[in-house]
Amino acid sequence: MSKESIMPTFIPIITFVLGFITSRFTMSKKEGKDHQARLQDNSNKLSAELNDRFQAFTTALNKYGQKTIEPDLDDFFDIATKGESYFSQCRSICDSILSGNVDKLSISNTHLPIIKDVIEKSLPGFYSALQEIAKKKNISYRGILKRDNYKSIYEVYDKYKLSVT
Amino acid sequence: MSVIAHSLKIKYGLLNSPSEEKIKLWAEKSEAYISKGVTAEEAGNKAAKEVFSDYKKMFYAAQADTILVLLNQAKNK
Repeated sequence: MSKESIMPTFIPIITFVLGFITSRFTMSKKEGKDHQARLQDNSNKLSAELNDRFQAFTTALNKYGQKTIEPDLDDFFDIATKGESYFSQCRSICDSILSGNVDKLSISNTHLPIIKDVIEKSLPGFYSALQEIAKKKNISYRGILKRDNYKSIYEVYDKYKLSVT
Repeated sequence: MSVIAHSLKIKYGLLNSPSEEKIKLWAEKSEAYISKGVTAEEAGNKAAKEVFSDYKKMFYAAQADTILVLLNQAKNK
């Protein structure tokens, strides 16, 4: 078969293959909207979970602070675990941001202001307060703030240059 | 990043972060009130009530500030 007679047969095949490949890697308007809605939905779920953990953490802290009798070891570890749980959700949010599963608007309007505060205020405040309380009450507590344990939170903080905003 | 949008959301208890257009409108209305002699705080409040349909639908406190206050309370126990 000559070269010229093969070409017309190949053209529709090539067009089909290219069309197929392109559709795999690009999104239609509707798909784009659906994708955006999924990211937004994921963001809302992450925020709702963070709010729940925030409530649990602050309830434990408040219970400790308001006790009329001397707080015991359970009260102390309640703060430690609920706090850890709150910061662990912050880490999940940052993991999600870094892997592109949160919509851009929610990142800048909802998550970044919280992440900035976590790095600059609540995370260091949490560890230093626990150490201080443990020392005062003679509790054996070895928790220290390690950057490695909250890697993605620091990564988001650095990536979005939150130290200068 | 839109820190202003977040601050307005917290301050005026909005359900959602306001859009750039709404923020601009809020700023213009606030300035108009201020120029009429209303105090900045009051002007901001009046403008927010007019511009944001979800005004005072939520109560927020910055999480970190609440945590720090409670941690201090626990430290002093």
